[in-house]
Amino acid sequence: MEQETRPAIARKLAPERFFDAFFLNEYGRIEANRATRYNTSFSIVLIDTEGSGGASLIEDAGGLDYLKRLAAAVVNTTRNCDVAGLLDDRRIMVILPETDHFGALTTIRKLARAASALKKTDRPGTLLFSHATFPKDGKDFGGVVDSALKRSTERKESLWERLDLRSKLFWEIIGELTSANYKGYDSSTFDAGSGMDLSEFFLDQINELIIREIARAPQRRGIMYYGSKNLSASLPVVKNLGSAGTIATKVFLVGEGEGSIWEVKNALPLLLDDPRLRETFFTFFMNEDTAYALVCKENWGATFSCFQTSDFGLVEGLISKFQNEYSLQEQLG
Amino acid sequence: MGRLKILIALNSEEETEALSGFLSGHGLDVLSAPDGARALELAIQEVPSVIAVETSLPVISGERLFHILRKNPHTSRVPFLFVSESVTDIKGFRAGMDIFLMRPLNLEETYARIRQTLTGRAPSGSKEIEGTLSHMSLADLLQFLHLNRKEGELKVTSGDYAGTVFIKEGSIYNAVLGSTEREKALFRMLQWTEGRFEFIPKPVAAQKKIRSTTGNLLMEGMRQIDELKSKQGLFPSPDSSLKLKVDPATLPKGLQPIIYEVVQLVKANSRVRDVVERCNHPDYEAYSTISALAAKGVLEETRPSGGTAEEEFLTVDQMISIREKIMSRFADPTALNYGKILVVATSAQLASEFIKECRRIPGFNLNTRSAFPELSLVNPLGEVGSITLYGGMDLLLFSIPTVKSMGPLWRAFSSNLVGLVIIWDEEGAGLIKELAAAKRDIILKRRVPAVHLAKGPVNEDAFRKELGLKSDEHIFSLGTGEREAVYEVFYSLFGQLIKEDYAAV
Repeated sequence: MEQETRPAIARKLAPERFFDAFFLNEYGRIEANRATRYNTSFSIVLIDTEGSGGASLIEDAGGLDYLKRLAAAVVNTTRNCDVAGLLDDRRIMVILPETDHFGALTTIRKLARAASALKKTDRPGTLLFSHATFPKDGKDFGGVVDSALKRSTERKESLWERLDLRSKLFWEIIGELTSANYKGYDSSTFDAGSGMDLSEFFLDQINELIIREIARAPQRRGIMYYGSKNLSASLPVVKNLGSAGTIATKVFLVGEGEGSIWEVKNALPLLLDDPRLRETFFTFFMNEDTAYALVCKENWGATFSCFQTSDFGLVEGLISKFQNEYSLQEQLG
Repeated sequence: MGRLKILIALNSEEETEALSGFLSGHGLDVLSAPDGARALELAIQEVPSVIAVETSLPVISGERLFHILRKNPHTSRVPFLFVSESVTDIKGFRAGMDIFLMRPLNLEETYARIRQTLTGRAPSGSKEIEGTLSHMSLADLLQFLHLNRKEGELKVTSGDYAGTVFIKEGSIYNAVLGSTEREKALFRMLQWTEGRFEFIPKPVAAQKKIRSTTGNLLMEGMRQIDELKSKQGLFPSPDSSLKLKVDPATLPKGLQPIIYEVVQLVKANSRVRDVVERCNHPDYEAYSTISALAAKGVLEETRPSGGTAEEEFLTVDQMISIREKIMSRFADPTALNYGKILVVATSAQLASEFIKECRRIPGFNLNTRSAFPELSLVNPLGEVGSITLYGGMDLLLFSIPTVKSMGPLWRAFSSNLVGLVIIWDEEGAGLIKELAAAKRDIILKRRVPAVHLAKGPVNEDAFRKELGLKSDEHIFSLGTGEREAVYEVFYSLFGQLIKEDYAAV
């Protein structure tokens, strides 16, 4: 295949609104100056086409064709004010003016949906999405790109990608996570309950602390799902929510519950009648700074097999799966 | 909540039926319309509590219907629930009042959102009574509400303080003021002579925590306020220090519960002010009990020394510098009210011991949970104390388990992180690798300064190597019992924070 320059390839992919790396960097720098001047934010989204194990797409005609369709999907999915282009041989970047962390996450969901609708190629790799927001993740455009690249690497190492959990159902994932043995810093498993080193109280303590974290920064947006077999006003989580002031984090209480649960302050009860919720309780919490998930499966004799993670990709994936499979609103904060 | 009426106008008949059935089952009256024109007619005739519409309705679209009804004074306050296949920009959408849901719809979530928007509107409903405390005292107001058997929330503000009294059928169910509640909160509010109040009639779901009748409660409150004022000179000074002179286990059984509570609190808090603040009983009762226990020799009171210079931990300038540095770390202005210092140790006892040493710092607030070893030593997780800096910013000391299996907690609870305190002793030598790994992992994610403490004789060289300490990095000693020693730990941490460029997180 005849070698072409990247700007030429970028122009061919989607001639009207798809740019090359030089333009992206220049535009990004101007966008950073503008955001600083007007005290606003902007985000970037990186799409790594190499994914986990795939090869560069620009080396053969099939890959280029896929890239072309992907570029068209990106351009069609994003807003007119967004700027997309080819950053290097394998990455597409989208600059999203006036967009915060949650806006970037929503864009990623839209892009992922659009990309999954493209005709599959015979390539093993999946697309990896990452993002970063100015000024939170970087003081200038270079800093923002660095953060997004770092997140892209983290995303590759995420359990979500490594175990290919995307293709599994929510409860399959929960079963897999609670039955395996993880001892990493990002994700780990442990046992708790009567006769164990860690008591059931410890699990309540973690949930209580998350609520306190939320209450400490009440204006910080985020989302939390707390799933339990028996929702009642006497749960420590519910009590803590009741005593907190108004919070921006959306908290959902999921499970079977009594009438009084409707009166809980700062939370939206989702009374779901699912037998699986009777033996498994979970907490999924995510804001722009932190992601944490705790899943505990009850065994015989009031003991629990627990899985916890601070892996952003995994927590986001779990929330997304849960929302999709229970037809809940897709929201992240 | 009374019987509410909801108007549903969706394109899909099946969906309308499913939603109608579900909402009827939850006690809502449901009206349905097949198109926008019929929905408009029903909305004007019936004035529903909520209108659920499809954005793309036939005849009159959902958005157009919204604009028409918003201009009508009878329906302008009715919240709309928009249902759509995709994200649609609706002009005039009222965040916090209107709802936007995308398909597929989950019936439970839809119902919960409707309930939320309806209950959320209640506070903005009419305030039945409002005024200033200089015109009507709180005691008079509570009597008035009692006689009229009112139900709702009475919000009272005075300066920076804001409290709430929950009233049901005229009886006081509970009062909340900051972290205090029940009689203690109410009696504090009764002392306010300046400020504002507003009574919001609404159903009260609060648990009944005050048992006395309103009349008795107010009489007792006023008595205690008078007594507290008249005996102020006889009671221990709020800045005095308290020390236990007897073993709490030797106290006879069957005494008043407040005595055991005060004794437990003195174990954790040395200052009178802190004990009174954390005691669940009203201030007068707390002071009386402390005074009585001091008279009987159970407690020893040490008056504060005259000079304040030696008490000073940080000057105002230093506090401002630290605060500015912390503020510069975070681009998020909503997160500026606190910074967090993680305490990681090879054993929970060490972390607990460090926290106890921190009590020597003036103004250090100990979390009462950490005072009780049976709780804190098993799971050293959570906020164990705090120091308030100039301008209301709190520096929280947060203890966290070091073991690798708890790694996810390090990140989950490290938002607003400004420092790390690492503690070990010879007994914990076996865990030093985990401690070093915890330090590496935390610092890798959040670049923060760290201070290192060791208890007793330790193999310093081995620890330095494992923790990656340079030869000029100081290792502080824990358990010297000197106030200056714990001061130095924080001076070092703050010094690094101010000196180094830790702005890039």
